Amino acid sequence: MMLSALTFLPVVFALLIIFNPQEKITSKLALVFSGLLFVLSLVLLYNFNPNTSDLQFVEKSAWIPQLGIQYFLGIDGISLWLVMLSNFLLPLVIIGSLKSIKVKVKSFYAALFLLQASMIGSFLSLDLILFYIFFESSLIPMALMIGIWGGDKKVYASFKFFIYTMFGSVFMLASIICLMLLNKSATGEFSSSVLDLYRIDIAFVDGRFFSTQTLLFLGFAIAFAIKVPMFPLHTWLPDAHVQAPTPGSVILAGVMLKMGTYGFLRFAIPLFPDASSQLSWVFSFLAVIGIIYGALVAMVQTDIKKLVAYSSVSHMGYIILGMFAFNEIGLTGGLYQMLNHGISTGALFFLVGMIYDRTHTREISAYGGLAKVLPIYTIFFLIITFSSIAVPLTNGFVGEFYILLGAYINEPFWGALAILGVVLGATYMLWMVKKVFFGATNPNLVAMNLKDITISEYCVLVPLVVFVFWMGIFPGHFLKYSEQSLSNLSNNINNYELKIADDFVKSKELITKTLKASH
Amino acid sequence: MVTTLFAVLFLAPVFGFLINGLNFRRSNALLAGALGTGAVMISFVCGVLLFQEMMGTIPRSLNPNFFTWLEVGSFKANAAFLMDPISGIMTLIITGVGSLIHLFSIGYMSHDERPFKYFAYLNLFIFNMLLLVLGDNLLITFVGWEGVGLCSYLLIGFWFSDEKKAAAGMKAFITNRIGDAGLLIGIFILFTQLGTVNYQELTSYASALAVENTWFSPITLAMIFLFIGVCGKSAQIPLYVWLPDAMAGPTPVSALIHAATMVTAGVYLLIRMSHVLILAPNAMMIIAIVGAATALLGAIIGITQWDIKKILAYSTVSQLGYMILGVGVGAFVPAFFHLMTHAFFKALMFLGSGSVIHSMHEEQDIRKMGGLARLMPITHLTFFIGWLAIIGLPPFSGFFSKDEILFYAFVSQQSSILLWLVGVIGAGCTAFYMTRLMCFTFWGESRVASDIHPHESPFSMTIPLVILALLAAFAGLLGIPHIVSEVIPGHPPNILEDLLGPLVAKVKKGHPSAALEWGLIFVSVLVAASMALFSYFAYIRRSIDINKLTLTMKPVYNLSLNKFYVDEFYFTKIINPIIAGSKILWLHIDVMFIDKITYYVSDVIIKGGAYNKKAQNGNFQNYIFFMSIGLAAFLVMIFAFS
Repeated sequence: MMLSALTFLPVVFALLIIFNPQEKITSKLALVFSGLLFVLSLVLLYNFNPNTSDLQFVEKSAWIPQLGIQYFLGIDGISLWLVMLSNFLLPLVIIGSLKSIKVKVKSFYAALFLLQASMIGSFLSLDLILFYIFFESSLIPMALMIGIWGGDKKVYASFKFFIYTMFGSVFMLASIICLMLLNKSATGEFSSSVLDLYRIDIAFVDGRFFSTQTLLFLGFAIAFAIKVPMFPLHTWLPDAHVQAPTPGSVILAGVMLKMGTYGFLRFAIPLFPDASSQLSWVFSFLAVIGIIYGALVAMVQTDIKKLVAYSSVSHMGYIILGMFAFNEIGLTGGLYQMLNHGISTGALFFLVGMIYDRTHTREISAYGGLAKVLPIYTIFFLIITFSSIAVPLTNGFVGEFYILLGAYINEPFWGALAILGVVLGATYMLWMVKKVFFGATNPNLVAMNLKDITISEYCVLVPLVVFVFWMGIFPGHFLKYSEQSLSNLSNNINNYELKIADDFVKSKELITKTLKASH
Repeated sequence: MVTTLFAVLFLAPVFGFLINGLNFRRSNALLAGALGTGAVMISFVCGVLLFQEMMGTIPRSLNPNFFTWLEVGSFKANAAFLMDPISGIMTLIITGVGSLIHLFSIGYMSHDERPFKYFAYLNLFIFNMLLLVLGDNLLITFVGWEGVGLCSYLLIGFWFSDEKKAAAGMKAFITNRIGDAGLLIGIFILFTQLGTVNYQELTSYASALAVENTWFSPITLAMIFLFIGVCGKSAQIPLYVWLPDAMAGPTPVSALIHAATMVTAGVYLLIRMSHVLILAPNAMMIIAIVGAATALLGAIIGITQWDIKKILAYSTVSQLGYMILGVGVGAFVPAFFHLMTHAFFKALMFLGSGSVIHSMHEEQDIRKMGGLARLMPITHLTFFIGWLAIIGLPPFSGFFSKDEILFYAFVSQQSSILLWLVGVIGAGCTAFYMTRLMCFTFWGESRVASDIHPHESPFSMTIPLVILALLAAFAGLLGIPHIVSEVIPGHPPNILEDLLGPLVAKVKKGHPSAALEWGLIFVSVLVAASMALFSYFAYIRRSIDINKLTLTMKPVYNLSLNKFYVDEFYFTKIINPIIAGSKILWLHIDVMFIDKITYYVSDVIIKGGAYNKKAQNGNFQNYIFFMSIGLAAFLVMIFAFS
């Protein structure tokens, strides 16, 4: 029931918020609810067994038996941290929203919880149709968030976001249907459970570009590549980020983009191992282009938020590069970088939002010498900057190092080329930091009489900074939960299997036995 | 016990950093300085105790393991440390010289607004530098390597309200990042080839490998990439450009980071890797050439500069070049020896210049100084010793270490007479510009502005100067070469060689005769002494018309004065084109091209939709019909290909 609770409690909370008659306490209510969810996820973590790659906390029951569609949730070392990440960010996002969201507060928080439900659902679903439903349903609350609470060009950005992602998903749906039919022809039964689909042999002809497996893989890959987003399908991202309200940006960068990378890791790669290794050079190539291109374009931005958005394109490129190295080091780096990016880019969007709330501008040229005016804010910004440019002992280094090493082991050329991103990353971030924080203080800023970090802002930033260092100094504390799953994936990538943990099977057997006995 | 001492060694500066950092708004320089200096002194005491402990073990090494930092698949990097004589001496230099510079800073920063922040950064630097030298594997060293770069960034831009200073910090970080990228690739190659990043394992695995004589063999490539990292940190051509700009930081920072410790990290790393390095003679050749070229370039630029700190900065570039040259010709112990003596005399001279700048109210132009010897006797005397050491007059420390490197450049298997010659010319230039600096700053008539009244600095500043002067004068005695000790009564041993010799790789150097060795010593002392005298006669006695000489050498003079236009070249030929190109990428590729395509696609869909409006007649069966046709077509396509 644990996983269902994590998935559907947010829906209940959303309804409670909508139907709560006292509008004033909406945000407090939301905070309490998100706290409950976080505690629940800690209980999950506490009970998670890190010594197995099997699926845990499995919930499985027939849904549309005629088509083999099941309600099938489960968690392993790969999805665990993404669930933790989104439950960790949610309370912070709500604290961060207290000030920045002033209109339609109830609907906003309701949308936030619905979004949470759909994201958690996507990370936990092991049935493709179920996954598809969650994956798609996340679009609506996010599009609404951008469209209602966004900036000047919110409607444009919201539509662009919606249509772009929707476009990709259509191909995935077609691939899912094909997979179900293939399973029918292979086993005689319909099924959309990934556990079954991992097992079927999908026709693949080496050397031929368009075999069934390649086409089906591409169907998934387009959907995920848009979500990530990978170059050249990234142009929705800068618009969406710039127009989205701060909480929207944080969730978008922090969690939603990972639905794409997670999709590769859970579905696209293990379902179609031959096709993905056949096309790995294409994805590595696009990833490296994304790393360098994103960084170069970030370098010439004049809007801080757009700069951070393009830096996301660059950072997400690393994740793809690590995953398509197909070795344990690269996969581990990819997974770790998903969390790092959630923490550091999430924090960057928070920080940009905080300064925007004070000055109502995001133009880099409007700043200068901010360090003199807001010293504590500057310290936080610098720490997160160092995390973002992967200085050792921050979380960013561990992920980037594993990714680059994994990529280098797989194909030295990609690894060596991607290292350029390490230099460019430092360049655009430090250049921006110099222009915003250093130099003579802009007299306009002095005149505004700005207030440094408030208590609620400390509440948002301090946990993030703690994780920046914790994850950088003791990566083992986190990765020990994922080690089994990742080594299982990397060692058996060509005949990947996921098993359901024994205790679930045993308890099912027990139930059937007791039922039989009672008859 | 050892573990506890290691923990205290590292944690003392961390706590210093945290306590000072959390009080960054306060302005009591004495309190901040006492905390900061105390923390480093605790580290120093731990360092001494550990050094003693280490000397008592066989083989001489301490290797405590704290926890596993990174582990995935076959890759493993522990948070473990290795103290042997190499890292032990480095530890003593870092914490010892570090303590003196912290102490000096109390007086120097007494008028600053944010002394707590300053000492916090300085302590953080000490922590990272210790990680760098004490790490037992390349990854821990890399942590310190980037960490010291970070502190350097923060300290160069310490007075960040001045945009130029902030820009200098940024330049240092980014230039170093270029090097770090190279270093990472080097680490990757070593890991894929040897399967480890642990120094002791690398050393023992390397002994089983054959020497590579081709260019594109893995170890050679690894060493070349590693050397790119060294070029960044140790300011070698072509990445040295950040170091002169780094002088924007407070002067004690220049002494600690940009002279004594951080910039020598590259030399340290290469010495640490000596057993792997000698497998790649081609890489060593590149290293030697770059080192010699840098030694000469720095010295030539140093001749024409007017800013006292810039002269010292280019001098540091040049001296680092000597160390790298030493590594390149296989003179690992002499290179380390020079690292050590340079740490003393250059820290001394930077602090001396700090003392001068402090009393001159931030004036750094040596044309506006002169005759300071009378007003600042201690600063002058100590600086004078530093001068004797750097120009290499016996028996001062620089003489022994620099001559040993030049000797190897002449006789070792990797040597070439050309390298030696470049080294000697560089030494001549060094003697010239350092004497010039002495003439303009301390000797001759005063050109000090009338509203400035230079005075000797307080004891907190002169005590470190005196201690460093003693070290600069006598540290050379730790490594007296065999040939010299033979003629000295008592035949003092070459302590450094005894300590470090067993740890580093050996390069063949034939059997040079004693006459040759004495001859080389004679030549370099003669060159240095005559250039020093030449400078003295030109600037003080004025018996040589230096202006006329300058005019005859105008093109060379201008090249040197303008630092060979290297910065300008980097800006116009590399950085600006990248920025212009990025703008094109953004405005033309991203906005105009990719986005246009997506608009076009959506346009087609919308127009198609308008055309198909007729189909949208609300008849549900029609919809199902068309949907099934579409789906069927897709399926047919897929199965047709399989």
